[in-house]
Amino acid sequence: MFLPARMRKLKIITFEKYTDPVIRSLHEEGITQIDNISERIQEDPQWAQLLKPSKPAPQTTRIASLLMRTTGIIDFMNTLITRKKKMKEVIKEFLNPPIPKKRKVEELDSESLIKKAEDELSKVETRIKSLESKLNQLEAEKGDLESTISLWEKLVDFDIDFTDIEESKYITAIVGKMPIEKFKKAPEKIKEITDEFAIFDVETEPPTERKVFIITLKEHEDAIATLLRRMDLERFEIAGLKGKPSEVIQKSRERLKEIHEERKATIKEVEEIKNEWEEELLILKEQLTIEKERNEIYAAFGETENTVMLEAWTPLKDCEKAEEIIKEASEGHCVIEREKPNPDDEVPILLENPRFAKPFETFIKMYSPPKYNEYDPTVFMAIVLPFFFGFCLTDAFYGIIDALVGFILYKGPGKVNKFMRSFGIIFMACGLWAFILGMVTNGFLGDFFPRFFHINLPTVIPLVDAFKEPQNVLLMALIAGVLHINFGLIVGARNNIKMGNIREAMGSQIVWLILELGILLAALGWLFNIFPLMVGGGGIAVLGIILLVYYNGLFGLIDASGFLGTILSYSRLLALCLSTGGMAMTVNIVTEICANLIPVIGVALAPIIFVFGHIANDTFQSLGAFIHSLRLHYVEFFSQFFMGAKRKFDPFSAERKLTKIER
Amino acid sequence: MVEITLGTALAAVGAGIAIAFAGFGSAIAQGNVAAASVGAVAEKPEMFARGIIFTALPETQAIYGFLIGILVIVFSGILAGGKALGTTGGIIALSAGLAIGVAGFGSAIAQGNVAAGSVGAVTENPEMFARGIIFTALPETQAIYGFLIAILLLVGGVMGGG
Repeated sequence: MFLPARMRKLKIITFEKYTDPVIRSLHEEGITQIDNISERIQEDPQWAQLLKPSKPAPQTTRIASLLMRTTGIIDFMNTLITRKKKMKEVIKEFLNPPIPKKRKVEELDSESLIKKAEDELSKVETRIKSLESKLNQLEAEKGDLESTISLWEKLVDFDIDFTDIEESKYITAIVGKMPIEKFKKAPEKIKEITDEFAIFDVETEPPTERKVFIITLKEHEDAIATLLRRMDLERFEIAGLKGKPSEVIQKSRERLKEIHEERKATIKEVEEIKNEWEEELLILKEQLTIEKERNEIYAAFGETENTVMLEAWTPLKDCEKAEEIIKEASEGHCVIEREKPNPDDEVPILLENPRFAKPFETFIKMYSPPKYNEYDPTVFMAIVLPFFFGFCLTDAFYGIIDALVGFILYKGPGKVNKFMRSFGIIFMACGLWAFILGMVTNGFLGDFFPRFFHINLPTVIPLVDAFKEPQNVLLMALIAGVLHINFGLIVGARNNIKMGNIREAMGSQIVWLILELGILLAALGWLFNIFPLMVGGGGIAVLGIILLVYYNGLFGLIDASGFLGTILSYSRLLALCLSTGGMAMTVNIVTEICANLIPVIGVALAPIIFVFGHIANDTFQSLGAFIHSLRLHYVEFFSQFFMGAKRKFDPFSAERKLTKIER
Repeated sequence: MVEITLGTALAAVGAGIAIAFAGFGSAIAQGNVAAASVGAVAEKPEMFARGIIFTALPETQAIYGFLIGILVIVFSGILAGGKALGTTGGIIALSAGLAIGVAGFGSAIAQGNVAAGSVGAVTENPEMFARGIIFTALPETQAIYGFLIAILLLVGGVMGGG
C-alpha cells in the first residue's frame, strides 16, 4: 500500500503470425506497457546479431489517412451545426449527465476495418463534400457581393448608369473624394489641361471633403488624374462597373438574401447527414484510433524471419492474466520470461492505493510520481490534506457547503467523469474537517451565533476559540507542522537507508530527529523541573548539532534556520483560519449595519448581502485553503523525503468509450 | 472605548507596517506570476491548476504580515478588553512589524520573479513542476527570517507584558 505497484518485465517471443492476435488481446485488456526495444537493437551489436528492429504495420498509413478523413467530416459537421443549449438544460445535464451507451461491435482485423471505413466514408463523403463545396462557393460569392456593395455605396450619390461610361469609346470618368478647399480650385486647374470636361460634386463625410465626378475625354484622363492626385484626390476604382449604383446595390442585397437562404438549406442538409451518420462516424473514429495505435506499436518490437520479440511491463498482480492472454492468443506458441526490475531499469510507476485515497493520486502525479522503491505518500496525503484544509477554513457552515458541493459532484457529473468523482470525494473530506474544526474553534458563518443570537456553539472548546486564543491555535498549527515534517523525515530516512544512502539519511533526516528529540526532552525537563531530563535532553541536542556539522559542514547550521522556517510556515494554518473568520465577521457586520441603519431598503438588502457575501467568502477562502494545504505538502512536506521518478505507467490500452467488442 | 497609550499606538503602527509592506510585495509578486500563468494557460489549458499553485506561493509573505499584525493587535490592547501596552513594548511591536513587513516585501518580489519563470519552464516541460516549486520556495527564506524575528520580538517583548 505504501509503495508503488510492484512491476514485472515480461519478455515475450512468439511467431510472427501470432503477433496480431497477441497485440489485439493485450490492447483490449490494457494491463501492460510495451517498451520500445528497436532502439536497443540498433545500438547494441549483440542484440543486432540476433534481431532486427521491426517496422510499423504496412497498413498504418492507410488507417491514419482514413482516420483523418473521418475526423475531418466530424469536425466539419460540428463546426457548422452548433446547438445552443438553454441554461436550464446545461445545469440539468451537468447534474445528471446521460451515461453513454456502448455499442457492441464486431472484432475486425485491419483489412476488414479499412474496408468498412472506406465503404462508410464513400457513402457519406460524397454527400458532405458536395455540400461543403457548395457552402464554400456561397461564402465566396457572399464575400464578392459584400465588397461590390461597399464599392457601389461610395457611388450611390451619382444617379448615373456606369454602363454608358464603361462602354463609351471616347469618354471616361474620374470618381473620388477630395478636400473641399482643393476641390474649389480643381476646375481652374483642369481648364489648364482642357476645357472638355464636366464636374459634379456632392456632400460627403467628413464635411471638409467633397465627393466628385468628372467626365472628360479619354485622351485627357491620365493628365487630369495625375493633377487631381496631386490635389489629394482619393480615387474610386470604377473600371468594369456596369449599371446604376442604387440598382446594383439592390440586386446584390437580394442575392445576399438568397445566399443566406441557400446556406440555411445546405446546413439543414448537413444536419440531416449529421443526424443520420454522426454516431456511425464517431464509432468508426474510435475503431480507427484504436487500430492505428495497434499498428504503430509494431515499430517497438524486434524480429527475426519468423518470430517477434517484445518487452512489456505489467503490474505483478496482473502478470498471470497477461501471460494467460498471450498464451491463449498465440495458441501456446510463445515463450514468456518474467523478470524482476533491475536497479538500473526505469520502471514505469503505477500508484496503488485504497479506494478512499485514490482521488488524491492526482496531486502526487501532478508533482511527480514517486520512485519505484520510494514511499508513496498518497494515503498520508489523503488523511492530512483534508485536515489542513479544514484547519485553514475552520468554518462549520462553509464546511457543510463544501461537502455538499462535493456530494453533488460525486453523484452528478462524477457518474461519467472520473475527475469530477475524485474532486467530489476530496471536497466531501475537506468539508467534513472544516465542519469539525469550525465547531470547536467557534467558526460558523464567522461570528453568526454570538452576533445575532448572543450564544456560542455548545461544541466550542474555549482554549482554541480562534479569535480569543489565537496563540493556542498557532501552537496547534505548529505542532501539526512538527508532526507532519517529522513524518516526512522518518519516511526520507527509510527511503535513503533502503537505497543504501546511509550518509544521506543521517545528514538530511536523522540529525534533525535527534536535534528535535534533544530540544523536546530539555524543554520538558525545564518545564517540569526535572534536572536530569534537562541535562540529558541538552546532551542529545548538542550531539545533534555535532552530527549536523559533521554531516553537512558548517552550512548545516544555516540549514537549522531553514528547518525552523519550514516549521514556522505551518503558521499559515492559523492565518488562513483567522482570515476566513475575519471576512465572515465583516459580512455579518455589514449585514447588521445595513439592516439597522438603512430604513426599509436595508431590511431587503441585508439578506442579499449576507447570502452573496458568504458565498463569495466561502469560494475564495476554500480556494485559498486548498492551495495552501497543497503547498504545505509540495514545499514543506515533500522536500523532506520525496525524490520522484519520471515515468508513469501508461498502459497499452484500447480506450473504448462508445464501443465494446462482441465476443 | 479602550484608552490608547503611546505604546499601543506604536504597536498599531507596527501592525499596519507588517501587513502593508508584506501585502504590497505579495501583491506585486502575485500579479507577475498571474500574468505569466495567463499566458501559459492560453498556450496550454492544462497549465491552469499549476499556474494557480505558483500564483499562490508568493502569498506567504502577506500571510506572515497578516499574522504578525493580528498578534500585535491582540496583545497590544487595541482590541476591547486588551491590556494597554507600555512605550517600550510598543517600540518592540513596531520593530516586529518592520521585521516582517520589509523582509516580506523583498522576499515576495523575488519569489514572484522565480515563480513567473517557473511557470514558463513548466509550460515548456511539465517535468519541471517539482523543481520549479523548490526554486520558488527558496526566496521565502528571508521572509521566514523576518517572521521568526518578529515572533521572537513579540514573545519576548510584548506577550510577556512589555
